[in-house]
Amino acid sequence: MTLGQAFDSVINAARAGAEWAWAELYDDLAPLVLGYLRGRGAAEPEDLTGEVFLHMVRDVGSFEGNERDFRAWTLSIAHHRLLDDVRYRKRRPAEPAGDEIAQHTAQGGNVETEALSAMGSGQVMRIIQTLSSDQRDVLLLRMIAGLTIEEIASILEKRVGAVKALQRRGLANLRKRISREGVPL
Amino acid sequence: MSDMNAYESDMGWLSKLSDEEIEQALAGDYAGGDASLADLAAFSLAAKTTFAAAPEDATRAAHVNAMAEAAADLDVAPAHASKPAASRPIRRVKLVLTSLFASLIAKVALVGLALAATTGGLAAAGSLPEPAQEALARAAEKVGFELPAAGDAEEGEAGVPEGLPESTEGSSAPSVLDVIRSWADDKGCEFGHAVATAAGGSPGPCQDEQGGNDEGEGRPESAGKGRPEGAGKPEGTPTSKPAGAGEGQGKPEGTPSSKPEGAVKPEGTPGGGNPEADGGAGGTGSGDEDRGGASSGSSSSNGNTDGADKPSSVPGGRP
Repeated sequence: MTLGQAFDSVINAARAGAEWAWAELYDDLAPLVLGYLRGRGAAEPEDLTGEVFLHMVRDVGSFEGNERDFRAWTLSIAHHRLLDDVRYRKRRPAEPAGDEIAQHTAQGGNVETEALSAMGSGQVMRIIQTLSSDQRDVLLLRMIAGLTIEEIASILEKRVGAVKALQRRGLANLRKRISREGVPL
Repeated sequence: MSDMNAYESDMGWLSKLSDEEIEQALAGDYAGGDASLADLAAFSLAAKTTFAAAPEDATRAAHVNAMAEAAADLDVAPAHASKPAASRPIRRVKLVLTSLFASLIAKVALVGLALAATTGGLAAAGSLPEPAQEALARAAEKVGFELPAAGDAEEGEAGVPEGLPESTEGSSAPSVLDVIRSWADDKGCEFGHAVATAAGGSPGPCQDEQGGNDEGEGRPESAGKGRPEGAGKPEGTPTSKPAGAGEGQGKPEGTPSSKPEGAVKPEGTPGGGNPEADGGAGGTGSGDEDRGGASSGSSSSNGNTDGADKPSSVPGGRP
């Protein structure tokens, strides 16, 4: 789902403080942000998503660009917020992670989510967790957010060649894992 | 198959794929013939649907409300920012003072500054103890400041005008003082004559019936001619002990602190035209009158009394 040509008017209305505009932006981008944070194993992906959007509200005045730039910018906020959260939780361990998060997201009370859980969301999470952190970043941003190699390179602050290499190795690992476990349904 | 062989196999597989095919697989809509890539496309789709689910309604509502409130706060922020403007300087001053006094060095420096200011003030006033005042005066003199020395303070009390000559040798001050001291109550024209004579002048005749100041008439001929030769210090200064003043006396009589009653008018007397010798007792001491008048406002109150003739020279008359 994209805003398309309405993006400019929506972002301007949001800057003017229109609540409806913020709701539009949230509905458009929250699934991507939440999906990325869940796939990266964030302990509290919903809470982090809320913080990402609050950050967006604070800094939207400094944003310049089109809708695609705005998406990359929002996911950049999400990535840095996730890193902060990971550092914070390393200092205060004993937090749920991995399968627990997958179970937690699957038990959200949403019928669709419960159905997806039944179709093997736990398996998806297990396969994703076999990748390195950088490979997960690249593939999740590619698969879920649909960002380009260049956009991901900018978010991760890496060279384009490095991101391409991470993508290739990640895909090779996925292929190997899928060939063993089969495609999750 | 070893891991190395598997790796080479995976890399070989990837190298056969085009970027477009990889893009399609990652997007989850691969329709080609590569089975592995088709599996990857299916996995990508499953991951997207698993992770990228929309937040629950309650979560969404809470987040959107929080965003709207944050946006409203940002809009209102400038108005709030201007409110405490009046209290900012105070807060800043408090902050500066707090940080300043938090430093021990600053405290010591402040105490030192206060001491220096106090000592400097006392030194300028000449009120320090004698040794300290002397030492400070010497030190200040070396750096170009002039502070009263220990002896100066006493001189000041004695009413000695500044800049007087040191030596009073050869002056008529002692004899004038003797006259003043020995004179009885009635200090009229005769008293003035006596003083003038003691000062070496030649007073004119007394004029009876004349009430006021007969300035000019009783003046010596040479009045106002300035200082005669050998004129040193004006009479009656503390540094010149009058012969008859009694040895060992700290201050000669006739100084402002111990003025004889009915002291003669000091106008123009001090320092200036030394009236002794050659009758330079110009009572109004022409050129030096300003100095005399300026240095002591009390001199005018000690002026001629009871219509007495103005003495031509007044030793000890405070300028």
